[in-house]
Amino acid sequence: MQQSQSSKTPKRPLQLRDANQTDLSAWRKKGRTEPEKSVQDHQSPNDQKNDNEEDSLKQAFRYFEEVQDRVSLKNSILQEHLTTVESVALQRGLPPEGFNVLLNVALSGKFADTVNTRILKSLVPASVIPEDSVVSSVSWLCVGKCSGNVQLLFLKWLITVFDFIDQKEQLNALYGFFFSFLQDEKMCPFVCHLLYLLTRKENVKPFRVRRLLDLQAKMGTQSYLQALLSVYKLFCPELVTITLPRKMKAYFRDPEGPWKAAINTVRQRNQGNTQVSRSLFLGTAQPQSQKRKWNTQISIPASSTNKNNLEEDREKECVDLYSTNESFPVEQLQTFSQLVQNIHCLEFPSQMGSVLTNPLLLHYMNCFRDESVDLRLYYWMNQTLQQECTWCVADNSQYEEEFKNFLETLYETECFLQEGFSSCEEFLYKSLPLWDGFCCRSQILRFVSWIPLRSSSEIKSHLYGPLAQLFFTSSVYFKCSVIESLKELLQNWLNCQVTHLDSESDSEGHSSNTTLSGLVNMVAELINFVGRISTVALRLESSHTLLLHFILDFYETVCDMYLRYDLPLLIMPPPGVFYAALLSMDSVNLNQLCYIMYRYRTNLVTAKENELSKKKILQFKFSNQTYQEYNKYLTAMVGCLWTSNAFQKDIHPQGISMDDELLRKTTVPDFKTSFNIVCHPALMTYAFFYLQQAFPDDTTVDFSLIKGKEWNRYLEYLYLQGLNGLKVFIESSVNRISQASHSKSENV
Amino acid sequence: MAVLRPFNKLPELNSAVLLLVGSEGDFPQKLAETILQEKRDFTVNIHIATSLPLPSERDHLRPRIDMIVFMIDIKNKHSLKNVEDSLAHVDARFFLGKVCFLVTGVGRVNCCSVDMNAVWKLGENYCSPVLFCELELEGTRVSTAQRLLRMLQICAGYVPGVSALYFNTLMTSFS
Amino acid sequence: MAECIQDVIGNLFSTIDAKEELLGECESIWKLLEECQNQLLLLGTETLLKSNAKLSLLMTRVRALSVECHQWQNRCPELSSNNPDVLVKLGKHELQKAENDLEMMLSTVESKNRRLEQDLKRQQRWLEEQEKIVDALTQIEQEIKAQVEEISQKSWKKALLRELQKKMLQLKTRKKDLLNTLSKFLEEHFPLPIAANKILVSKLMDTPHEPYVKINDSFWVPYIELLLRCGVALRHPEDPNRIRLEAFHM
Repeated sequence: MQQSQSSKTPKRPLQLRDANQTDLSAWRKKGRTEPEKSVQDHQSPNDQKNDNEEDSLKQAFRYFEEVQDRVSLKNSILQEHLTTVESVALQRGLPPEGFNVLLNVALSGKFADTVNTRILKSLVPASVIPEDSVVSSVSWLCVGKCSGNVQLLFLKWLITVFDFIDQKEQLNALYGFFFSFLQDEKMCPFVCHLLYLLTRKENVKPFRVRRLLDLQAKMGTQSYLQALLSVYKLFCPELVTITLPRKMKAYFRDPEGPWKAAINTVRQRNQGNTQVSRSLFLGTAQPQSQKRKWNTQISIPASSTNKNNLEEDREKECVDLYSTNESFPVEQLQTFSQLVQNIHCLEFPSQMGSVLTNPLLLHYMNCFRDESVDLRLYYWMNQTLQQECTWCVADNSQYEEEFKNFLETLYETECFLQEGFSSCEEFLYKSLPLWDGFCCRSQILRFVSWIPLRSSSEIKSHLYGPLAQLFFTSSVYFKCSVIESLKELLQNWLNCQVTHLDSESDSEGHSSNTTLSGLVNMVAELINFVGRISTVALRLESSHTLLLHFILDFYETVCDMYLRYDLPLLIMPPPGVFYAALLSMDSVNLNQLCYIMYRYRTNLVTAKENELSKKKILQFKFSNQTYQEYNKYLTAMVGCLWTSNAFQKDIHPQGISMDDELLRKTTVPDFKTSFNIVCHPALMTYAFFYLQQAFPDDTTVDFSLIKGKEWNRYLEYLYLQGLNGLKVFIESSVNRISQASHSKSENV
Repeated sequence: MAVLRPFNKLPELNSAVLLLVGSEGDFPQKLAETILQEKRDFTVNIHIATSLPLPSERDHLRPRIDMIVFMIDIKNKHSLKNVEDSLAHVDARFFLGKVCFLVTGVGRVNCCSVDMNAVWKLGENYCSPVLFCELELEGTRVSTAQRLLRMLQICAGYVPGVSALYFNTLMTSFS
Repeated sequence: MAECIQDVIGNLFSTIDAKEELLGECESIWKLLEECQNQLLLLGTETLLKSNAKLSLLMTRVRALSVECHQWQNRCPELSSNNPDVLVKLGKHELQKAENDLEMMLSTVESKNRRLEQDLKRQQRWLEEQEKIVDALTQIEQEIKAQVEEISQKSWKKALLRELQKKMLQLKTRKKDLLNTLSKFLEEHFPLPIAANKILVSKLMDTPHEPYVKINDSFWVPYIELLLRCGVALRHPEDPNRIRLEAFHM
């Protein structure tokens, strides 16, 4: 192939997206000769294309670096290079070296505004952005050689790619410069956003606070000014004395721009080639799959300056140990031992979101939790959840997998910290009415289980309402999942209460927002809600076994609230649940019901004893109504299982008492003694196998053989089959009068 | 008869009839197809209309309607107006649990021209539940179809012990 | 033999009986339905006005709900069927359903157990790590306590004093360097009366309670404007002729 400058080379712009790249002369520029990339080399087409692209990119950079005077827009060479840069940027992102050149060119006013705008819009990073380029571009900004629009665009870009700048030390040193830009009204919102991201404790100075307050007086209460003031207030509350709204919905408008979409595209393409950050999990390396902006791990800088800092830190530490103000650079936190050594001088990274995927920082956050951390995390999570929600914003449907992973990460963090985030709660309230019950189902339901135990009035309308609507119209499996997550919600509330009680006994200054009665009310409301929806659900699904199992699981937690969690509340299951379980066709649910009734009895008996013994001064006691309700259920149950007179003795208004007339019509012989532990539909199979075992020669199945001594043996047989609930229930609630004359082994 | 009445004919054996009222392109069609693909043990007939009243020539051919779903597209102001006008041609007894509003387009918040509050108000005034769906996305469409099918089952009386009115009271009484 | 045949015939009859019984029930229910339908047709139609839709609808609902409630209260339990074949068929159906449901429950419970095991392992790991952190923190606390005791001894105080003096010296030299570079910078870019600047700074430093300087014409006006615009200097609230330097250090 010839390498001479061929006159036939086009002034056409480079078509990098063409699959055919055989015309090598197509990318000659300015008549420079390049070493030949021979087609006869055994390079794959992809490599060749990449090399071509890199070369043309390098040439573009060189061009921009060297161009001296104003070049007219019509210059084709300029257009070519511009297109090169744009296309590479949108496909793969620009390498770090390019930013210096491009930023200098864009902000120095050498070219016209359109060129500058195009350059700025194509500044998509492939990996990181070197800090020096940003610093030098800020200096250009100060000189003010570029137009106002370009300045605004630069600020928007800076806000969007903030996470990609590898270090922020020098940038923080320029804080004052950024601050001075607040004067300009157009730039003010963006400068506020940038300062919000940059601010550290040492940046909060009284004169800056005064300046902000003056601005606020001049321009009125703007959300961005309030945001910055609230950050200042968190770092130094004594300097900012005005009152600020506690939590605002959205402080900053999202800076629109093409970069976000382009960054996502680049990320997806680079799926296999991520080399940005190594995994920071304890010891074991885990492969990092596709990450989105919020999953940015803190990248470990390759430069050596930080190492020097570390040395200095160590020296200073030797001199006076714990009074140094130097903080351990968070980017270097890699192992658990490092965390333990430097735990007193760590600082949170500026992008709070990266805390979620870093287990070391999570430990740190667990120990040192204060309002500023909460607010920063709250704001960031709010924004991300709203923007990326896949059913609130239809365009996000392709990112459902990633959104699911994000929600999983949030859930795991909540589990670790053992408390729920208020931004997750608000996200639930906002998106639950619009939810179809399908997208990210298990993740959303798990969020339900971490709703914090604070707000009472909101929960009813925002959670119970939409959840009930979804619950009634969905499949039986969805119903089971909802009941399960409501059970976990109850458990989390109870655990939270117990730990608060513990910590209160240690430290008196702890102020709890919920008094005991408030807590009791909320828990009671939840249990009543679940009782109602369970009754309806069992009716809708005709007592589906799996559903009943989950409902009984819920009541297993409820029955022990007094003894296990010290909560003076006892609520019996509604008759719709109780009778459905009593008359169920399978023994598992019956067994569980027996166990639950046994636990209720234990709780009630202990409460009565405590009340009578007056050892503890009780502020409550269970009402007579509770005891009566329990007794009614107990009568029905014992009648069903033991004394064979279920239908006569049941006094519960929604119970199973029936007239003798009706029972006679069934033509069942001896109907008065035919329904008990032997003939119960759930236990009949056990009776059948027992008869086979006990009377192997008898071919007829005669249940009436099981009486007297056989009855006891049958009971033992049942216990051996694993029906422990039945065992404890019978032993505790049934008085065996005639035991003395029968078998020896009785322990009641 | 211009007004739709809930019990003007005898029901057919083992079948249920659904009426979709809405003026949006082929959304009703797509939704109907998705519903018919679901597994069920009774036959489902789906009638589609752009607005009420239904043409009276075919009255005698039309079976008894068990449930009406009004489809509102939030991106289109006329859709809401159309539905509101159609509501005047429905007998009051239909609203005892046999009516439901289905709102599409919530995922594109930027193109909303109808206020969400107006939709909630409509649901409240007519004591009927409001469901949300993005009909272009398949997963959502399938799950919404399943939910509508369950409601239809109850409205046609195939769930013993649960009447349409009772179910309706449940849906609207928890908030 | 005859008994066998009788049995078989008896069975056949009962099966046929069962079917006929069920069909008979269906027919009677259908007749009831037709009667109700006739009565319903006699009712007129009612449509809702938009203005009071909610009110009238709610009243209708109240009536309908109370009637339904009343009906449920009056209902008595009834036998579904007495025919043994029907009952056997029903029983078999129920048992089959119970078997399927139990299998599903088994697999659900197994997967729940697996998840619980994983959770347990995770929580144990977290617990260990947190205990390590608690240990480290208590160790740090003890070391600091030891340090505090040391410092309270005099020898440490002297060493500290020396340290502080050294730091002060460093700071002063740094400040001088900064001021020098700043003045050079100013000379380079703003080659105009810097004397004003120096006067402002020195006035502020020396008399913190009287930091105002009178403007007179010897100061270059645009320069003053620049200082004011950038917020470096502030006007005196009452006297427009006096300016002061913004207190950056406070």
